[in-house]
Formats: sequence, structure tokens, C-alpha cells
Amino acid sequence: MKFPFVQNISSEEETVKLAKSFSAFVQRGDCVALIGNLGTGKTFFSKALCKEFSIDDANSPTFALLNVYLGKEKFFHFDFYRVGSEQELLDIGLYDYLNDEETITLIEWADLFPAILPIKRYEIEITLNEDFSRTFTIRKL
Amino acid sequence: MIEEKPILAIETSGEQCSVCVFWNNEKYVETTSRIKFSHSKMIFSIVENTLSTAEIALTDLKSIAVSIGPGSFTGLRIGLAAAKGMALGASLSIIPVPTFEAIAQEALNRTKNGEKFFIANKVNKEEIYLAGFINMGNIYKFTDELGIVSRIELGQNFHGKTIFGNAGNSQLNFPSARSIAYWSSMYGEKHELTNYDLLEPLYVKDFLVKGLIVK
Repeated sequence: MKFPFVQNISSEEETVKLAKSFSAFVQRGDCVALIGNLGTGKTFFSKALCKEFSIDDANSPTFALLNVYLGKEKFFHFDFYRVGSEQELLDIGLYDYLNDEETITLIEWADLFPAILPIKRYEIEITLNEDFSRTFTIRKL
Repeated sequence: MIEEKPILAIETSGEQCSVCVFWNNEKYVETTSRIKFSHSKMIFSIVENTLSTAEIALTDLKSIAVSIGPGSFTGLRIGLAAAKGMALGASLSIIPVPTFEAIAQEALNRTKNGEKFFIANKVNKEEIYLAGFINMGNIYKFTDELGIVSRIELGQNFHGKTIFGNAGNSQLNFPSARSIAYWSSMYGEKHELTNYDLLEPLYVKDFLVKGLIVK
């Protein structure tokens, strides 16, 4: 996989395969920012990625704001969808989570608050095409 | 002879949540937990346990010394909020203790007279809080003002130097609450605040977010 990486995906099985390939690049301390509209598959991809690290209980953090998983690696899984402002993210200690070098951080709806994201990160943009296939674009910033 | 009242010191600027009831370096009770992201849950039970072990009530304290940074964004806010709440409730003063100076005071025991040393703590994955000091015997003096450098700059320009802190090469990372208390017993008098409403953590770095700067 070379970044930027672009792939058209037509099934959940292909998404799982992509998550598996991408998991080889993800290391402790990395931040993975997921961007895409409702229903594009951000949470599905997150679950598939976590599965590669022996985490079976990954779920949408939309209401909890943050889920913490422990498998072969530790994950912080954020969802910015319900967050009202950057100040709220500071209040819940986002910087301290992002600066934890022993944990991998996933952020869904990361594009809602781009100014608060770490400069070095993976960015995965998912777009829904007319034929219901998805285009995944993975960038390493 | 009436014994002087002790200081309650709080250190939450790093991974440690540390509390100390401090009379002097020969007499103190210190409790420390080192569990990430737990300061807000732990701090009041640690304070309660430490006061109870020291057989001291909050109202019997002289003042509350609190580590004000630089350090963890959330950790500093938890420590300062707890200190303000307790100080207000028990009519105590607050002594804000610059975290790096408490480390520098501690580092005097680990360096030689005349030796220059640095303190470097991580801001984030790219940046480091850095300050330089010289050991002047019983006191330290700043040689390089507290600021922020990149990790690359630290690696390139400070190789082979004595560096304390969690980005350094020596074992002293963040101070313990006892170090905070000791610093406040040495220098705290002129920093003591009875009106601490506007007291804020010393972040050094402005946390930039759209339309808002959190200092």
C-alpha cells in the first residue's frame, strides 16, 4: 500500500480486506482520522480495523464520544459527530489522549474539527458513489 | 513550642496524581498513584487518605501548593480545580508552583555545583517544553527561559547534555507532590494567593482552535 492510496470498494468483504492491509501500517501513537458522510462505513471500517488487533467489541462511540478497547494494542475510538465545539473536546482531555504514545487513536467525523487534529496522522476519506460503491482515499499526512 | 501548620501539595501535571501533607523534608505524608487518565477519579480520595494518614483536617493546613505547569492540559486543570475548591471551602491560600522549577530544585541533588542541566517535557508528538538551569549550590538559576522546541531540535542541539523530564535522558521526570511542597516552603511566601479566582495553569503553549485560543 502506497500513500495516497485510492480504492473503489463494492462490498463489506472488500472493506475488511482493506482494513487488514491498512492495519500493517498502523502503530502505537498513530492517529487515524475518518471522514465521510452518514452511512458511508466509517464505523464498519473502524470495527474491521480493530478486529485485526483482536478487538471484537468495537462499536460506534457516537453517544459515548469515546470508547476504549484493549486487544493486541490499545485503541481510543472517538466520534466528533455529537460534539458541539472544540472547547468540548479540550474539556474531555482530547490532547492528553492524542499525546498518548502507547495507544492508537481512531476519530470518526474528524473533519468537523480539523484544527484540533495532530499534524501527523492517517486520513481516510470515504465517499459514497452513485452505484453505492465506496471510494476509500487513505492519506498519510 | 507550637509546630508550624503543614502545607497540602498537589501534583497532577504528568502521569502521577500525587498529594503530600508536608511539614518539612523530614516529616511528610505522601500518596501517589500512577494510572493514566484517572486523576479526576482519584484526586479527592488520595487527598482524603493522605490527610487521614497525617491526622490533619483540611482546616488545619497552612495553605495549598499546586503544580501549575507546564504539563498535561487536563491534569493541570484537575489539580488546580481541586486546589481552588478545597482552598475556598477551608479558607486557605493557594501557592502556585511552577512545575519545572520544582523539578529544578529536585535536580540540585542529582547534579554538581556549577553544572548546567535542562528540563524537557513532551508537549505533543512534535514539540517539547524546554528550560535550562545551572546548579548554584543550594539554589538553581535559569540559563534558558522556558519555551517550546521541536523534538528534532532537541535531538540535534542537546545531545550529550544532562536533561531531566519525560523527554530527557535522566530518571527524574515529573516532580512528586513532596517536591511541589518543598519548593513552596522555600519560595512560596511571595507567590501565595488569597484571591485565586483568575489563577490558571501555565500552559506556555497556546492551544489553538478555530475562533478560540486557550492559553
